[in-house]
Amino acid sequence: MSNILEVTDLEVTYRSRSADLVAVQDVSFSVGRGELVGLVGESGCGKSTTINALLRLLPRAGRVTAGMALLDGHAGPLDLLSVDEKRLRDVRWRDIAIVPQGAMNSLNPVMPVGKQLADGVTAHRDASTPEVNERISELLNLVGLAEETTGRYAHELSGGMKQRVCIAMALMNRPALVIADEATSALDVIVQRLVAQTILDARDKMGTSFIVIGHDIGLMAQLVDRIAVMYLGRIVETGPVIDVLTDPKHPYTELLLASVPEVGKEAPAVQSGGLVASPVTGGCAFRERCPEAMEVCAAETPPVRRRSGGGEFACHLDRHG
Amino acid sequence: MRYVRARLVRFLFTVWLGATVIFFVPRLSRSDPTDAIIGQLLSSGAGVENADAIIEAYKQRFGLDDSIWVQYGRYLANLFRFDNGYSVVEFPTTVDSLVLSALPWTLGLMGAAIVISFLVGNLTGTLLGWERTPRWVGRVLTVPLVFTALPAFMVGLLLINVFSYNFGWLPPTGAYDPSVDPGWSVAFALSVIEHAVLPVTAVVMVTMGGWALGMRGMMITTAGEEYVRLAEAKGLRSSRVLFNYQVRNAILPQITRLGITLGLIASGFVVIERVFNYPGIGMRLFRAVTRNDYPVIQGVAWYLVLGVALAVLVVDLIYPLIDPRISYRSDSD
Amino acid sequence: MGPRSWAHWVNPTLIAGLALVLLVIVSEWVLPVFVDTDQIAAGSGAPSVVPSFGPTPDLAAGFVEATPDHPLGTDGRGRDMLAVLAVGTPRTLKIGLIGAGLGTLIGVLLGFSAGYMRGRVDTVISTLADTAMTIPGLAVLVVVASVVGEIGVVSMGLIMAAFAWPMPTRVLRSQVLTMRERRYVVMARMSGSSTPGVMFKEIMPNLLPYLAASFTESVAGVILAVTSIETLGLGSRRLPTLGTTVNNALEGSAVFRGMWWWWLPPIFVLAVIFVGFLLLTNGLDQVANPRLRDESL
Ligand SMILES: Nc1ncnc2c1ncn2[C@@H]1O[C@H](COP(=O)(O)OP(=O)(O)O)[C@@H](O)[C@H]1O
Ligand SMILES: [Mg+2]
Repeated sequence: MSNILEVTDLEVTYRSRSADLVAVQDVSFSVGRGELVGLVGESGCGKSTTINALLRLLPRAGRVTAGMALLDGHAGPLDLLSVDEKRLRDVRWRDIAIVPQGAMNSLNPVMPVGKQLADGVTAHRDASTPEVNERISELLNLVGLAEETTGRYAHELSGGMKQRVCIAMALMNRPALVIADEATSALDVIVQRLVAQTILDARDKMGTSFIVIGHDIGLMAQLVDRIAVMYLGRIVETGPVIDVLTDPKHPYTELLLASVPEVGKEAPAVQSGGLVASPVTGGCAFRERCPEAMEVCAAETPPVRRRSGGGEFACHLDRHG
Repeated sequence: MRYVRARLVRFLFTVWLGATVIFFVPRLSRSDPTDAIIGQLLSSGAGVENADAIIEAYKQRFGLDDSIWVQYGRYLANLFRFDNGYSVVEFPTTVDSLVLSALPWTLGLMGAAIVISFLVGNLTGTLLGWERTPRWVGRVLTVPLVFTALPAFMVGLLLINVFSYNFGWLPPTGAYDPSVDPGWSVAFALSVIEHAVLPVTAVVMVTMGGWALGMRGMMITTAGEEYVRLAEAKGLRSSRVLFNYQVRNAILPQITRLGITLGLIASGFVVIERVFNYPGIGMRLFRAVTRNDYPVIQGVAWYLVLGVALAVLVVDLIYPLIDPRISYRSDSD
Repeated sequence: MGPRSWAHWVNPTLIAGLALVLLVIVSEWVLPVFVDTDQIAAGSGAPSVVPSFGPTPDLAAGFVEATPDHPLGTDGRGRDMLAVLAVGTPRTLKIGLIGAGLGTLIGVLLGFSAGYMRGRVDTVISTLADTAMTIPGLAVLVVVASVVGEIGVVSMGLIMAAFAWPMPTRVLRSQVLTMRERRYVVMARMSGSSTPGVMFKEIMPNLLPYLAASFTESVAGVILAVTSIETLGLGSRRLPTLGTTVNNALEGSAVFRGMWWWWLPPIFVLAVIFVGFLLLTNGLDQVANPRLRDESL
């Protein structure tokens, strides 16, 4: 297996008293070794749900209702979605780590930062204290934090500092794959750059693969190799980041790019649709908002077409040939 | 040290407010307690030879001819010196020595009950709120919670009836067997424990449910916290996630609540001691009530206020040690 | 946020609680029709004297007195237990309702003022409420009751109100504070500025379930407190309440004489009342806060 992660036909359903909500449907993608993959789409389209499903961190209401996610970790390939608890614990943080969305609340408020950095290591192997401490200072250095940070508590750190602690934490075990959920959102531009640089460094020095979730298309363009665009629980377009951004094939990608006023600025909210109901069954989910919707869009599920430079998109139109 | 100062001020304010209420309330009613004391003394034939001395002592102490404010000032000053005057029934025993001799029993019984209840209740709540608890365990654990709504003395009476009257397993009254010599002996210690079982059980049964339900709610809240999910993502042992991440945070509001509910717990204890004839200060209060021993009533009431305020102060002062967000330097509450 | 739909109020816990409480209240009207309430006087029936110092107290010996005239038997001094309960239960309930009602009223006024005016008023009221909560109410109540002596139902209710206000004050204050934040935008758009009166009318309907829950909780709290001081021999002595009945039983060593029909019935009625009000409170909490329903056991 050459890819570190292969996701096929993932489907996630949230159950509630009133109705079930299929938040993610037919999602397939892969991440190569040392590859940086971007996942973009407006808020509520199912990005977090997708990666929480991979990490088996869905809230109680959420269930994986279909799909597979093969992770090629230290103990060979295994399906993250069906592996037993014991082996799941074994690959967590060692093969696959996460920088969670909203790092604001991601640190235990009553445990010093250093301990939280360390316990992710000692849970997986017998590491001596000096060894762990050295690794901690190495990583704090990498993310631009002072060593004294280890003795501090979450409430003594700024948002940016907490975010960087979370990134350091994710890299502690040199995992093969790190998922960063909006790791750069809500940070000032300088810290954003620093975070981006840390990700690139980790890839170059350790060969770490990343899935980067965000809606700053400008930052994505400079950071990731490949990009996947999500809309209403489905991936509508994938491909090399430059190809997709310069020559979007799917009307939604186009809309997303059009709403970015200037590269490097935070993307404004695309006219909010969100997932109000389950993704439309039958026909194209985007047709209601698509400027180029045709009759066929309501009747048939759009075909998956290949992009010339690699990648795919799902649309009845193949406009640019 | 702003935190410490704020807590101390609140402590003093509580104690002052309690003392003030205890001083003024009796004087608002038509019957003057001092008159009542004297009246009682004169009507009871037993203490006639002492009566003059007592009346003199009281007149002097209350300065009956002084204005109420002077009396109030003197009252506060006396409290400061732990001088609550004399018992009228057991003159010349002082109120303070009466309280002091009863205090160890109350402290022991109450301390044991509060600690056991807090531990058992929070452990139950932890298991009830933990996602990994097997369903049947959860079901079983909800059973003891049915006593939650009831007053402790009720459960106490039921326990006495079943375990003392019906089965004769445990002694229903007193703090120890009078045939055993009080002292540092195993026999005495066993006797004390044996006598404490029923009252402590009664209090634990009715108070642990509150802790359990509160803890269960907090467990559900913390389970949704990002840092708990991240701890799981780190592949930590589930026991570590549970204790170091979830419980460690969930317990904090419970400790705050402990401070708030101490007053209620103490109130319940007075009645428990009466039901079990336990020689603590609750029993002193009851006996003073039945014998119209006003100075003792007021004195015990004041010591209850003081004791609870002190316990609350201790909880408040310990709190920053377990919650780094509250430091001795900050003045947040 | 529109007015809450009535469907919210149809809640199993709430209905169960209501049923229990209504049962107790209705029996107040029904029982006196069948029971001669004059029999609460000592000596109405033959006293049930079970020897307390026999080797095995003879249960039957005491219950012999449970004749058709005295279906629940008589207490150690010949009071008819059914009559005692018929008179005592409503009296205890009334004290609870008066105390909690007035306490809640004071709490509404103080809590609303604190939450609405904030600043110094809030500081004073909150500090007072917090402090009052850490003062063991029973201690002060005993002082009051021991001085006043015989206390009727209404005066006892009024005295209890003095200890029932801190909780509703805190509940209302925090609710007004959050509502205020939420409502602020709407209000500002609607009418520019809002007077306390408008604000009060705006907020109250939304707070109703919280208030109701706080009230029912207070009723239970007041009944617990009043029963407690009555078991110490204070409060109403002329006419029975549930607390004085328990006290009589304690004084008569009912447990050690095996006279369970003396101490158990008042405790049983109290238990029904407490469970009923607990269910009511939980039910109302669920109405106020629908999220709780999904988490309930
Ligand atoms: N715990 C949950 N229960 C029910 N629905 C949820 C839950 N979490 C997310 N959703 C729904 O799933 C959809 C996808 O949400 P999410 O994955 O968080 O989107 P994104 O991360 O792209 O902003 C949204 O419509 C959201 O309302
Ligand atoms: Mg998200």
